[in-house]
Amino acid sequence: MSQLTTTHTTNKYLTFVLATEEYAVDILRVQEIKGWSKVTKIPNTPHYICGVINLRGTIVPIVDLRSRFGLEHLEYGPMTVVVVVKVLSNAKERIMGVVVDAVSDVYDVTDSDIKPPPDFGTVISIEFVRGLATVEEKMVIVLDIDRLLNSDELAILEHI
Amino acid sequence: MAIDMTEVRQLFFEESSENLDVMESNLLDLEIGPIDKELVNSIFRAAHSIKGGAGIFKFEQVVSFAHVAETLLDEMRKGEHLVTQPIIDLLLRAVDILRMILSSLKEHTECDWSEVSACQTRLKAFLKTPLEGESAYGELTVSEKISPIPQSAPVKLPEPTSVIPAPIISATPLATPLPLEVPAVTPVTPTATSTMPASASLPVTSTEPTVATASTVALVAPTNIEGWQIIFKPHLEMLKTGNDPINLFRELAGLGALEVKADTHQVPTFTDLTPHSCYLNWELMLHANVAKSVIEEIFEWVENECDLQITSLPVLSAEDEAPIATVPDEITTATTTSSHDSHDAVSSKHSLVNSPRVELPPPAEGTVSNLPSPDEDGIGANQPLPNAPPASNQLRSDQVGTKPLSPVSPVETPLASTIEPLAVTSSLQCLDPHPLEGPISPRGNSNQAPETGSSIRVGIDKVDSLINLVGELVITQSMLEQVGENFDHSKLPLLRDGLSQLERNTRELQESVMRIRMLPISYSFNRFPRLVHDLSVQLGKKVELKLSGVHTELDKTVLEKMSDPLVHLVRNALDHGIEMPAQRRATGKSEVGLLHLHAFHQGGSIIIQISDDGAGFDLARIRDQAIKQRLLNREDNPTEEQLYEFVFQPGFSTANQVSDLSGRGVGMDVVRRNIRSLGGTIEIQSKPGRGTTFNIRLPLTLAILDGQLVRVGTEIYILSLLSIIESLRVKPKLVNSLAGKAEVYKLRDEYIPILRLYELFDIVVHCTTQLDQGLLVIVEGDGQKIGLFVDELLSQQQIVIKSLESNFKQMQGISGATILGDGSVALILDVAGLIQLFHHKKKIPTLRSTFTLGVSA
Repeated sequence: MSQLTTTHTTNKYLTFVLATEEYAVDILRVQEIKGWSKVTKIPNTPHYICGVINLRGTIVPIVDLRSRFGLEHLEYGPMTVVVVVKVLSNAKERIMGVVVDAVSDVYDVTDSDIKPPPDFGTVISIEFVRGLATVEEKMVIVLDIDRLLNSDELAILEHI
Repeated sequence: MAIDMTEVRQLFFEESSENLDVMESNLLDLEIGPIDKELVNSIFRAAHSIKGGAGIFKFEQVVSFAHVAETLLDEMRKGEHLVTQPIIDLLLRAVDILRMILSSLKEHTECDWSEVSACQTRLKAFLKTPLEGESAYGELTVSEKISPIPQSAPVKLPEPTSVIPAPIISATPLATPLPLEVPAVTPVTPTATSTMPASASLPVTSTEPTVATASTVALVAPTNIEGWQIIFKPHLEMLKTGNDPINLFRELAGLGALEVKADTHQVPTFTDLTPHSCYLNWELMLHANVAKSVIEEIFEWVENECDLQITSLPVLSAEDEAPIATVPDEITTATTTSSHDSHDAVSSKHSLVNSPRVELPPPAEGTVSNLPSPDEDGIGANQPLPNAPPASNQLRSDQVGTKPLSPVSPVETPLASTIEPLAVTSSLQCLDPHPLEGPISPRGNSNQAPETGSSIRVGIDKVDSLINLVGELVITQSMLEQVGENFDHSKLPLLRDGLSQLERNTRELQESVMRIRMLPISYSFNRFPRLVHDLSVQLGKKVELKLSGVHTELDKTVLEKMSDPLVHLVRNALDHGIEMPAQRRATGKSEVGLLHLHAFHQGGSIIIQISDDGAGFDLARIRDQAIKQRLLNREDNPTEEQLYEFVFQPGFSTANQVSDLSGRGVGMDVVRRNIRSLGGTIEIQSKPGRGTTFNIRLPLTLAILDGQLVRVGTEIYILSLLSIIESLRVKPKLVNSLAGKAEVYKLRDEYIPILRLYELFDIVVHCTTQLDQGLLVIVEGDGQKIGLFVDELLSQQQIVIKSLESNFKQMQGISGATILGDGSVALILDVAGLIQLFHHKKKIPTLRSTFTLGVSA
């Protein structure tokens, strides 16, 4: 997943909007899209972990992508969207919710069209960006959600 | 394959494991002396089912191994053997080996084949074979009597893969590990090749030793083998009629040692090859004293589809067998000189051995596709080698340290050569420093293995009651639906009735669903007869084990997590508690110590008692030791209970010497930690000279707990009712500050630290910060008391525990989550974790300003 593949397979990607940017995730990883519901905060977790919700009997953590990317915080409201995704970590599948501004569209993207992101040095961490793709004249940032929701920063939590 | 076999496979493993348990418990019930037919029968049946099942899945190793064990059992059943301790021990060992093979097959891990073949060889040695086997058996028992700890022999077998390598390991005590490794490899091969035809055939009959070892063949050869030469030329079409030569060979090999030579001349080039045609001809040498008709019978089915020629062999030609017969001699003599030489000698012998042997041809496609390839056995035998060297090193270093083994003298007769290695083997066992690891570790591992697909067998009555309850639930639901139609006030009582019925149904349903997870504690207790048997033999103590309340049910998870602590306590009781027979006699007790495991329900808990009538705790010694370790001041006068508390301290041991079993001071603290992690407690009652009782109290289930809801700001948390001692309104004058950092509350004659939950959890919205406006909940965790400061107490209710880890991760201070009546999530607090977190936070200055705010206030 983390490596760019050279095959020319076409996959469907769900895109969502954060501020003015459009991000894409592999649609096969998306379990459902739901509205905002009240979360239960978990103490001693980073600010971008909103808390946990009850998703039909399972406890699912919710990550706020805006705060994850250091964007300005928006009040949660009826229009807030939670994208529930499946994340692979340590060969185990976890369910997580991602808070985004809005869901945008579903695009077909050929793997070869995903270009590696340019290097910004340490200014922007791009480890969870799989690449950049151009769809309908727009730039879409393809996310590697396994890394995004499982990167070292999240792992640091283990020691708190 | 059309059918999904994985499920069936799973079933097989489960059944086999049950069968093995049956075998084990029945073996332990067997009494020395005449045969109890019923018991032996049931052991035999269990072994037979395993063999049968394994055959379906083509687990050849299991089949061949189980077959030998089964043969021995069959002989016992026919009364050909008396029940002796060595036989029981050997069969128990066989059970362990089977368990090991099965678990390695199940988890697709590698298994120590050397142990398997070692045990198989020993089993074969027990078989009632004419004369030779008998004398080997006799010799074996004698040698066991000589060895220092006679009956520990079966507890752990050493590494040698077969009889032949044994003298090599033992006879080169000072060799460096590396060369040792090499000879260990080579001798395996002769055995592998010589047994190959037999293992390709699998069934090994009870009356014929077949080619258990090369030397056995050599023994038998000159005396009574009158062989048959069979020239078997199948027609091209034979395979099309569903006849597979391998089956014929198997049957033949069942009669005795079989050599198979294939003639591959007729195999066409690959392009011309039809997979359904049989191009091979075979020349078979059967070294068995059987009537020609028996052989003809085997070929009966293919009579018309092959050319068959059966001629009797004259007494075996010497050149055929001689090199093999000399192999053991050569090895032993060679190894006594130098290991390098021995390597050469062995390998040269090896080639000698190989030359007269005929290997199976590479099977042509389609002809004998399921024929175990000749290599398979070789690989199988060689694989365990990475394990072998360290083990043999261990043996050697022990030998050097304690009792150097006299080098095996070169043997004169082939007969002696079979016996000698066995004798060496059994005396080596006694030197093994970790005799218990053998039987216990495989099972321990399988317990620890991630149980991804673990399953429970549920009694049909439990399922029936579930179905009944669901039926009632449906009735209640339709009743409520009726009430709901055209609802008016007159129907209010009906609604109330319906709702209370619904409540009852739900509760009952919940209870019976929980009951499905409940297993009788016998699942855990049943392993103890074996453990006690092995340990008492090893320690030279006489112990009677009494189990009661074995039908007491508890949650599967609790059961699994309890098994290690229980094993530890039982070991302790045997090692430290119960005295040696002589000592017991001296104190006027019966020589046989009593160990009693008892389980029963009390309230909402399960109590497990482990009591022995041994020496009891020596309080004076605990005291001395505690003073020595500076846990106690000399002038202190601790109570009995406080002294027992030391027993659970890490690194605390009063044992004079550290034994294999216990005495290192690790263990009891782990036992208590495990029990506590299950929400249980452990208590000690002990009377000097009269014995000790451990009382373990465990919650019935882990999935549900009685919870107390507490509110902090806008958040709701749950505390287990069990952990709450009391809750009180704070009197400000009883709050004291400690070093300006911590607060303590004077509760009667104790000072209890105050933990402000809102601080620890960083809650700033709407929470009470004035101590006198909230409540202090005194909780206990890990033996420590702490006062949790919360805003208010809400209701108490049964909480269904949900995992936070499955999608997120474990958080310190939080043991899980639950879903409240309104569908929102509430976190369950883990008191012990909170206390740790609290200490941690107090020590390290926090970055968040809110934390320091309240502390100094």
